Amino acid sequence: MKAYRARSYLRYAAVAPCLLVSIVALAFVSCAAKEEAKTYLPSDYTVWRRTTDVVLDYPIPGHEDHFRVIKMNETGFGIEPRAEDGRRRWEFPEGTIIVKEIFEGSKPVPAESPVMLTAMVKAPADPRARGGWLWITKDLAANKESVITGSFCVNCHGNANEAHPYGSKNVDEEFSDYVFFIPLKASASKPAAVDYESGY
Amino acid sequence: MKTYKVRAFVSLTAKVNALLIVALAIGIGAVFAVFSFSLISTRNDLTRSALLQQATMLYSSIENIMLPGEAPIAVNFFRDIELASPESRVMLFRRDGKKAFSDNSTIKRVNGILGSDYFKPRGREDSNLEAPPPRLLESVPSPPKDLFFREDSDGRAFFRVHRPLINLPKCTRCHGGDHTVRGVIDIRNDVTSSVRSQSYTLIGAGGGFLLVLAALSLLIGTFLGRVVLVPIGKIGKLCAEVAQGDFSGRVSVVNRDEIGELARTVNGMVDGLHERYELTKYVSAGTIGALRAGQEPTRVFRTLLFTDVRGFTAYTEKKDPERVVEILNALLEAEARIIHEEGGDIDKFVGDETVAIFRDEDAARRACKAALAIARLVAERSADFDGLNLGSGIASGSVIQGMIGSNRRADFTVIGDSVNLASRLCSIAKGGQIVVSDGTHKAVLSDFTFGGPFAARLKGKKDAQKVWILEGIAEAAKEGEA
Repeated sequence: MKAYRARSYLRYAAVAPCLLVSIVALAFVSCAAKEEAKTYLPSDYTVWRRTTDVVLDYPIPGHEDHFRVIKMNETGFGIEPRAEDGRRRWEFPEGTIIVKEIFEGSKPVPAESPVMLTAMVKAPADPRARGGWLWITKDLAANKESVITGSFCVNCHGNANEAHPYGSKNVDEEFSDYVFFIPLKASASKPAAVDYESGY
Repeated sequence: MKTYKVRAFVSLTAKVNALLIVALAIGIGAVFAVFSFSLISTRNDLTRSALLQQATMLYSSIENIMLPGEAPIAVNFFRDIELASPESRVMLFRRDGKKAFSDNSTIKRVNGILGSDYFKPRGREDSNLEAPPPRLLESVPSPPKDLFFREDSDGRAFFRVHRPLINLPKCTRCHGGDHTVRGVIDIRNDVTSSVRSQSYTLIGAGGGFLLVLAALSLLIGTFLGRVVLVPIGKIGKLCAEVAQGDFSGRVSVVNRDEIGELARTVNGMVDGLHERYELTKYVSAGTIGALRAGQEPTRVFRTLLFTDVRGFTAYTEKKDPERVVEILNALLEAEARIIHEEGGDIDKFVGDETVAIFRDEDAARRACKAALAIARLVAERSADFDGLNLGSGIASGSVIQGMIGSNRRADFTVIGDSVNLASRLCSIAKGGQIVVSDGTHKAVLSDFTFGGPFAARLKGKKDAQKVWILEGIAEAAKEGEA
């Protein structure tokens, strides 16, 4: 007796989209994983120079009464002011990283380690940047960095571009690129007719 | 023993309808669901976006009102907003959940920080304070975040935004720097009509989907029913009739498609089966069996029963041919039925003569039973057969079984001395008599009663043959049968 077997092309029709979806999903997953794995704060930030000698033990909004130390990579120390409409304008070079160490209390003991880092990374092209900066927190216990996409950080630091109560107080309301403590490089040329008060 | 699970019968119609409904439900349902939910999502996103934008503008307004220390203006500002748009309500809460400007605690605190009575306390403090919104403080933790959510209360729906009022560095001069959030702006928009409209949209879309589903199911189901299921049902019914031996039906073919081709093929197959079935009437069961098993000649033991109508030639001369054929066929039909009932095989009809072959162990007994039954029937229904009578002969012995004839026409039959003997015994039997060979008699001695023995001179036999007249079934055999 002859046995007739119908050849099914349906399985090929079913396999093809599944394969396609799998490839696309894998691509997405690999991209997402790659994105997730990216970190901005190097471990050797501890040897970077401080941006101010002011003892940051007074309470401020955002960090409240936690003791703070601010450090910056050498790229940031290359900042030069430029004059615009007779006023100085500070813009940090791309690649600048400013790290703020946050301690548990307001009076850390010697050799105490911070519990958290907050950082500004100058990356104007990054779509998550606010004011040209990426605003980052790093939980040191979990060793996990997070990019803050809300406007809380940039809103607060936006006050640095106008008169504020910290450091130089920016009484001339210069554009300070969202940074309250701008370090003055010894060789920095000062635009004429504009005096710079560090406020340190 | 292996057990096989038998699935319950589910008709093809039910399966096709189920498949249709599932496919349509998934296909069209997905489209409707995506459409409806994207519509709702878009509306929600727009509302959320508008509300957040509204919150941003309010935030900016409040910030600028507060900076010069004109907080009471903010209270009037909120009231004006509510008057202008009754569906919206704006409130400001302190970070501890208490309604802002309800008492003088903030003024006292600010004056304390400034070291002077810069701000004058309000004359009257609210004593009847409502409870803070339940999710207010969710927006306070660091970093503070906007909270957008839907709230249902008293049969109405609200979209609500809690936006934390940040204690910016420039605010710390009055408010101090030991806290991040000064308060929370609560914006509540009544979206009951919008939600109701969404519900109507969903109900409308769902109803439309069900209607489309029903209409398409009906349409496609009817189409498939007419084009596929009904013809297949007819083909199935025809096959069932053929299985029952009824070859009269045919499937009416209208469609020029695969189903139509199938119907035409089945009709052709039924025609072929009918022809073969009709042929079996003219071919013995032995021939059919031989065709199945092979056609090699073999020597076998058989019992042969011959019957022949007495006075048939004279009868044919007296009666019309139609009547002759009618009566003869009725007689042969009756014989054939009895022979088949006893497990015999009609080898051939030769005019008014019938040749039957019985095989297996009790072949002789069944042949004798068949012969007695035929004789009794013919006697009982003598009038039906125009008084015709039969003579029968039975003999048992070794015969050669094989395909006898030419390539064009052959019979699968038996030949041998026992065949000739049975034929001769039949020829000497008188009407109603059954003449049995001695060999057969010995085989069934205890089952039947016999007359004889008699010595019979038969053509082709030199010596007289010992024969017996079969008379009936023995009493002992009857009791055994009973």
